[in-house]
Amino acid sequence: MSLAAGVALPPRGRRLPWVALTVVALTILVAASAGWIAPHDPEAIDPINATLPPVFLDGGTSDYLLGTDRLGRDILSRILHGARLSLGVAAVALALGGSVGTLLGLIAGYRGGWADALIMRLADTFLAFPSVLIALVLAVTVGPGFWVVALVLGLVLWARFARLVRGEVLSWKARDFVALARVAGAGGPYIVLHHILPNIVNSLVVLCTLQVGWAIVVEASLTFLGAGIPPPAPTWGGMVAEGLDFIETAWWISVMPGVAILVVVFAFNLLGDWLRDWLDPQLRSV
Amino acid sequence: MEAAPLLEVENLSVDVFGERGVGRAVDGISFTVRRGEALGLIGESGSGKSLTCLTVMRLNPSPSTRVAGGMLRLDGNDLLRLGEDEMRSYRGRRIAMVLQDPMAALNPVFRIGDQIGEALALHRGLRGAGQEKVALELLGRLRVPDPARTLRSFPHQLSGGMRQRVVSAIALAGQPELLIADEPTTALDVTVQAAYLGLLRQLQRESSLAVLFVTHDLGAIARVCDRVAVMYGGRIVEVADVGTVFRAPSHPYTQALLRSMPDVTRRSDRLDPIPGQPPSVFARKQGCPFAPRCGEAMPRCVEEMPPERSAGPGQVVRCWARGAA
Amino acid sequence: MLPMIASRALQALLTLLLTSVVVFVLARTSGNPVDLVLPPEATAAERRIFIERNGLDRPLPVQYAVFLGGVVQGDFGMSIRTRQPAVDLVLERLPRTLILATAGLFIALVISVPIGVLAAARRAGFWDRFGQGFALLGQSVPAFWLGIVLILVFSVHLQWLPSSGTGGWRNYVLPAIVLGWSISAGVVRLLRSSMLEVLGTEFIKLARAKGLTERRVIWKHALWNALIPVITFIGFMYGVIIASAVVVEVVFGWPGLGYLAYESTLWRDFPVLQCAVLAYTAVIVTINLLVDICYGLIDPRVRA
Repeated sequence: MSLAAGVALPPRGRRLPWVALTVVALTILVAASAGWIAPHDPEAIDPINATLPPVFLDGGTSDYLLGTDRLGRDILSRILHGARLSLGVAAVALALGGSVGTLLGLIAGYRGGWADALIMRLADTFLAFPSVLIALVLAVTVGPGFWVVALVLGLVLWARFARLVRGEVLSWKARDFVALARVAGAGGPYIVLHHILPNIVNSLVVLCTLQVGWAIVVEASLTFLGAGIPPPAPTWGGMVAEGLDFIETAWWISVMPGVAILVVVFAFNLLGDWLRDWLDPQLRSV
Repeated sequence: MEAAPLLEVENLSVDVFGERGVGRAVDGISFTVRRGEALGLIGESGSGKSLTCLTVMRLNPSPSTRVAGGMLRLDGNDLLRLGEDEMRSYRGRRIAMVLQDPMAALNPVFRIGDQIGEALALHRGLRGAGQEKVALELLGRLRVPDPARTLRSFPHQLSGGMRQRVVSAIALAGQPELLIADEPTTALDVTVQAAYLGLLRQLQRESSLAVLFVTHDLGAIARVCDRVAVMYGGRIVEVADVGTVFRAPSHPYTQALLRSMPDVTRRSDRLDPIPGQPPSVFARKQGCPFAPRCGEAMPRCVEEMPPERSAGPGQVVRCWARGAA
Repeated sequence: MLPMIASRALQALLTLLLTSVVVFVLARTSGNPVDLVLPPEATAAERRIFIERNGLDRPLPVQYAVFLGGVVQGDFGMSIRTRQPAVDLVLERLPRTLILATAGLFIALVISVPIGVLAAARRAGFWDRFGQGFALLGQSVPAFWLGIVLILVFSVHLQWLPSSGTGGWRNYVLPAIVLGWSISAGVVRLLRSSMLEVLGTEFIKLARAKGLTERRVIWKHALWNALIPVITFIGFMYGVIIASAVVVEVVFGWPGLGYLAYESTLWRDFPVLQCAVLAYTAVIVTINLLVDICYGLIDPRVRA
């Protein structure tokens, strides 16, 4: 039936995801200003105030709103500073993977042929490979650190970007205005940069937003395993790991940073979903 | 003597909800299909004929479409008032359907035998060997060569014509009184089309089946139907016997449709395409929907939809320039 | 079908080779490979023998050939920590991880297939909202943290299930749930969109026109088709599960391959880590190959 296929659902009101937007904005703000707003030095050890519970439990104090860990470090301050590291790694990884992946995706999509085959085979290989294991090997051979984690994330991210961009290029390449530009004698790079790239910016924005959450979760997992950002840096994954042995007596050490991950990642994913529905309904499968 | 009406459609309207708002895709249409009769419903794509078919089955997509008013009666029972379970007991057993694209109408992961057998089990309680025997008979009636092998095949192993026969076999499995065929030949090759249409006419005569035959092809109408309803822009503009339509079409749209049809028997090889575009569902106004493209349009045409008027024996037309009240 | 399998098998082998090259190059180019592979207390004589046997003074490709020769014969070197052959340690742990991962996959499918189907069938209704919320949450909760919270609730407070170790079936429950969780969001999303696509097809319209009940239309005619993309994805999902298994095994003290890889990282036991990584890759590559082969079982169009 030709008629019903093109007809969408009755229009529904599209509200802005205010909660998600607020959380994302706050997280970025906190990451930028953690040094000023954190009540304590995130790495200051204070044995007298070790393992204090959060303020809402018996024995908690308003000096340490979310309690302290076993070295007496303020959990709230560490979470605020952790935002800086989490977002930082995600940003570097996205810049790395996004630029390389977009470039290779443009080449694969526009050139086709063996370049396409080679790039996409490579992307498939990287997508199938568990990043956790690359990170473990790098942790032993090179040593763990901020840049190693960003690199590992970038290794997976480029493949995701390349796939998306290639698919988009293939669909835009077939449009009339691209064919016209080619007839008019425009060169390949010119067409890609002026006619194709501007059209896929929306998809790139959506993919970036959706991948921030993924990058934060993986960075936290790697750090949790000791293959990420090494202690004593205040990282969310590292804090969860430090609390693991005290789960029966001081659960807040592990649970609080986990809540931070959950809230921030949830907000980014919600925002990404919303952006996708708004900017790019075709991108449903990402 | 005229046979009793089986399907009566009265003043049926269906709304479509899209991103550009609400449109009335089917706008107050009325027609009847009598027992043992084949009624053709002809119109351009987007005229609302497919939606009409689906609505008769109560399978119009929801929530993107909704019946806005009117009545649908099968054998005197108001279909629009039936509960979902009751309506389901009508589907396949009293009203069956053949879809436009046989390539897509069969489930790709199940064997033909399972898909026919499912209908036989549901409507006639047949299982096992009895079911297979009837399935073979059905395929035989539809002149499918090697029915036994066809039963074991998957849809992708059959040609388009064979698939349309299988779809028809599924439709006939419940021994329905009314068969709705929604452009059953559009997706087929021309030679296959002719064979299928001949078969459909023969089956219809043999088992005095009532058929609602939807198409945009006047040639197919001529092969299969007894009467024709011409649909344009969500409205039925003319109803007449097949002979009358070809001999003495009344509505300007019907006339234009005939002129735009290639005809090997006609001396003149001039084809007259109808100028302009059919109106969008969402941009319809009051008045005759064909007025903007009509060579005989009068000021009144864009203001008021003409009522049904008689243009001859058994010929009803909705045009200010035709017929008499 | 056969050429397809052959080409897939070749690609699987290439992936495996590529992984071994990456691991090998990382090991040989960063710092002193002798320290990486031999225990710190190795004598000067042992070091000399190692250098000679592996040709560490010769060009990298030659060294790789020697390494690969050993690997083909099952020689991955000795564990620095336990002095056992690395391959023995890995093979001992591998089945435990496979069992856990399979249980996780099973749980994921049992939970997310109904949610995905209902979300598509009741589009824009309660189940659709529920499914989307579930998928969002699934992507946002890190597996290691979920594991800890589950331990806190079910082991520490309710004391229903053990928090760590192996033993009875009760030891499987929490880790398998967490593993399943790590892919459930993906399955729900994939199945929902694939169901929506199938529900819009002509053969679903025909199934309804036949007079079938809505339940039969959805759970038989639609689901069977919608599962095809999910099945092709199972290889990928198994890869995700196995990768999450590293974290989950650490949280639950599950002595599988992932825990071995984690321990080897802590102890800088490179030969074992190297062997574990290659074993991981081999498993993922094999599963993907099996999925490609089994694909025809559900989709008759490929079988021809």
